Amino acid sequence: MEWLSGWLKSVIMVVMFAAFIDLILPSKTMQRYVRLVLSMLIMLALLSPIISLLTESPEKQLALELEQIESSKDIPKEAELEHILAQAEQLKNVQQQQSLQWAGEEIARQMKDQIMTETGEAVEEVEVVLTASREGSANSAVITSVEVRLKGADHGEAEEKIAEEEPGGVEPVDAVRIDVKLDYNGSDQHKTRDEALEVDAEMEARTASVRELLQKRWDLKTDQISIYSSESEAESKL
Amino acid sequence: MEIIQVVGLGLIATILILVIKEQKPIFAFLLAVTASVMIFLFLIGKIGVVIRMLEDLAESSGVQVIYLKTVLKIIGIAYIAEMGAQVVRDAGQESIASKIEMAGKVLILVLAVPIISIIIETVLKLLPA
Repeated sequence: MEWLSGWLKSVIMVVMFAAFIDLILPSKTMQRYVRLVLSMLIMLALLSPIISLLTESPEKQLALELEQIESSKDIPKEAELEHILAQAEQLKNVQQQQSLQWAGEEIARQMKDQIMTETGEAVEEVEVVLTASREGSANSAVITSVEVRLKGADHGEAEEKIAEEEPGGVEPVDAVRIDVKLDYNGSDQHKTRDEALEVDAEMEARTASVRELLQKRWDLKTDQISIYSSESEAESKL
Repeated sequence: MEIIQVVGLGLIATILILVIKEQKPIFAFLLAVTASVMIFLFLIGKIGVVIRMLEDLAESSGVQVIYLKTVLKIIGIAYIAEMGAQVVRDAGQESIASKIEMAGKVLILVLAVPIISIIIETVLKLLPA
């Protein structure tokens, strides 16, 4: 008798659902169609013992078929919301990077002009690294580091210096000459060291002015600015 | 007391629409859409309570959930199609509204297809071959 009570229960519930739906249906235009489908459903519930005798139980079949309908209009993976959101995030990041880079180049150009006009130093290159101050916002960026590469003073002076330093600069490459010019090699090295010290002092003065300018104009901290001079190729950080 | 809020919102929206309709019909339409969407969103929570109750009832009485699922799909399609059609009809686009209604009807009938196929299959098996 258990199947009878189960069957009765399901029939009663389905009829109840149908009555409920009929009540809260919005308008008359849909009513005929909804009623047709609901009556089909009630009929299915009524017939379910017979159907399950002959084939599978109707509930399982119905679930299977509905699933098929839903999966047949399955949207492609590219159209899923999460995928789209991930792509948008990626695009945003790229865009932000690009805008930061562009702004950095622009700032670098302005800095270069300023240094050139105000201190008269010949600047070879200025590099500015910007980062967004808050995560995911491109409209507030801060300067994290500034790299200034100074050219070797005036043109003539630079040439002179190169000429003076040439023995010291070339010597390590030219191994044969070391033996031959051993004599005044020592004095020469001494001389270059003096020269280098002099150059260092000079460079320090020059970089100090540049550093001061940048600090004043751009509100930067000392450790954010690094100034190199292109003549000392070892990139000694002053 | 929520019914007072809903009716109040509807009345205010109606008065504003009547005032604004002469000057800017497009804003009147936007106002109508906003009001209807707001009432709909307000009702969604309540509808959720009713549906959860029905689901619990169905599960505890041992009725297959698939019946309830089908019924809920029907009511959902009917409501959404009706709302869309009415909004479009308010804007004066009768033809588009009737198309939306037609789409709703067709989609409801599509839900009936598996039911019909199961019944017909059974009937064909009952008949002597």
